[in-house]
Amino acid sequence: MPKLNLTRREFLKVSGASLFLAGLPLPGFTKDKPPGTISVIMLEGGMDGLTAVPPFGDPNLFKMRKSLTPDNYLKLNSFFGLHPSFQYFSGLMAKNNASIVHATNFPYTARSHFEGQNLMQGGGLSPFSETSGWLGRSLELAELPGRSLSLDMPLVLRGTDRNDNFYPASIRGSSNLKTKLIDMISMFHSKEGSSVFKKVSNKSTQKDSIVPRDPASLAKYAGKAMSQEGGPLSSVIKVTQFDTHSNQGADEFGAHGKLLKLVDEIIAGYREGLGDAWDNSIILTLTEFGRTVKENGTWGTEHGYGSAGLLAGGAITKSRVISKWPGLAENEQFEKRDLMSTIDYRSVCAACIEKSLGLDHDLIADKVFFTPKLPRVYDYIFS
Amino acid sequence: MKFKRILLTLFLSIGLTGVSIAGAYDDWTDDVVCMWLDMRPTNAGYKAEVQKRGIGCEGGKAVAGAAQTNKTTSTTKKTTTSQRASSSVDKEIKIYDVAFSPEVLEELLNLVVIPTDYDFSKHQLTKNNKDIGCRFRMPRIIYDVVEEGQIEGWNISEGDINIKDSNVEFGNYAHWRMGGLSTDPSYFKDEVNLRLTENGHIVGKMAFFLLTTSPGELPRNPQYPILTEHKRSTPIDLSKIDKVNAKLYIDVEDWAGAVMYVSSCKYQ
Repeated sequence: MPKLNLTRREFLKVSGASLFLAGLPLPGFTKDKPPGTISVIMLEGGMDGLTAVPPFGDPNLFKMRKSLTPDNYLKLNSFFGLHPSFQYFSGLMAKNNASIVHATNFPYTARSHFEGQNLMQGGGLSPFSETSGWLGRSLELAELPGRSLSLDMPLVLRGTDRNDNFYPASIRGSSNLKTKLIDMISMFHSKEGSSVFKKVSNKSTQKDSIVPRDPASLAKYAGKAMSQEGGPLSSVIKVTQFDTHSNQGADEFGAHGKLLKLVDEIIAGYREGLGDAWDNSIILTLTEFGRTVKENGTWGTEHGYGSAGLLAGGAITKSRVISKWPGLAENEQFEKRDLMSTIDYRSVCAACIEKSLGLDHDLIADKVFFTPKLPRVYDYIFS
Repeated sequence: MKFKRILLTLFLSIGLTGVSIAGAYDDWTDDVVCMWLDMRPTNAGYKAEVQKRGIGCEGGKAVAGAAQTNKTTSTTKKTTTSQRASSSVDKEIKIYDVAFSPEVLEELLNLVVIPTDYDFSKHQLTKNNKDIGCRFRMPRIIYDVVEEGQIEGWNISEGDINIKDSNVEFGNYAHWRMGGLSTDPSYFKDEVNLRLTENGHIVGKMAFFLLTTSPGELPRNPQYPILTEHKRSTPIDLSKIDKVNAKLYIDVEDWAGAVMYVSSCKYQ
């Protein structure tokens, strides 16, 4: 039997190469129309918040991150800048439709990709404690189903059995397979199993199976679908490979910069697709952890803790950077190496759910994040 | 003896009641609860206890709420228990307002464009005040072999086109024949921004499918060519509505473009 030689890091890279989009609901399934839509961009590998949104007002930034801070960042105010890869996002900031939460993350400090990614999607009290995700639980609370565009249902959307998933691979053109095979298989199954195959059969012939697979196009497609009457209310797109241990780069041509550019394109795709529905939309990024403050010996960074969260959408009416800046001096860092997280990102997620799905903060804190005392940051973002 | 039995029963029942009121984990420290949750993450009892205490667990140890900084913890703890959880607002969070100079602001605002955005100010648009409906068909023109191009013998799109004022919109019968995404009728409705000029040219931008996508093939995104007053075009002459026979050239790529034939116009 051939041996598969794959290191853990290679596995992460390969497995993370796929992209998916989620949250396309079943037509006519929506019970009540909520106030808006919510879209999540998952940045896997650990997005460097200090590169994406450099706090140039902190005197320690350039001392510790010479090769990681872009020279041509956009000054947002007297303290924070924005990476040059965020061209579209900067335009949205100018339009008062985008904000940043800095020095934030999920309360997870063990720096494992697997645990961190599980926690940022599950939203539980510890990694692997939940079999459902915070967005799925929110949709369930709001009694709104979602639909996933992926081979597997992403954890973040799990939580309601009314959710459905889908992958843009049309088998309609395959004359040998068509739907007859699926229909035949369904005949040999019980009533419940048969209904699943019937669903698959219907999916394979539906029009929305024609979707380009690059993330920006998926975002546009998702936005377009969400803009339709009775369309989806949530979607999820995953961008991977932020794990830049070496040659991270500073500007838009570096490894991290290129990925940030991709995130920018995804946000632009959403904006384009959403059309008028943009006004009631919110898009937020998630990452499992930030990266170390100091660059390492190979011009990269290690797994860290605090990062930055990007928020965009018409639901934001005043652009700002929201932070309780912890400082970058060694004694201000988490365990003398990472940017401290001073804002629980679950609060940010909760605020976005509150805005888009119209759920009460207390309910979200208790039933979605299992933390009744979760601080409310809604007013900082949306007031 | 009977009195002693009653006393014993009373004593035991009070004792048992006491046990049942006290939680099973009350004498456990937060770290111990987290340690057990770490070992048995799906255990409902441990999960409920962690939730009850409002703590977070990492690596089998307790962390209080979000930031795990002393500052945050103390701020959160300042909230009295009688208050609702929602009133737990971290007052140390600061808002850094975004401020751009007028020049930078203008530059940034120009970055937020959609593919069909087009500035018509450089064109003299027609002042037609009637609703006009026409037919159109659009074969592809290939420039690979001859410089002036070869018009192909089939239409990549066809249907109806409506002109009202200077607005040019495609009708319900307009459709692409290029497979893939082009089969989505919304491109002809939502991704078209065209106007008619005074001298009869259609200008602006629209989603355009130059290449065919076969069934099973990865769909291609549309292109957004600019429709201009092409020097080879025969414009639309609205003064002779029943004799309109326009031939409008559309440049898309170096090797190919399209020719839009507009005819059979009628007042609606």
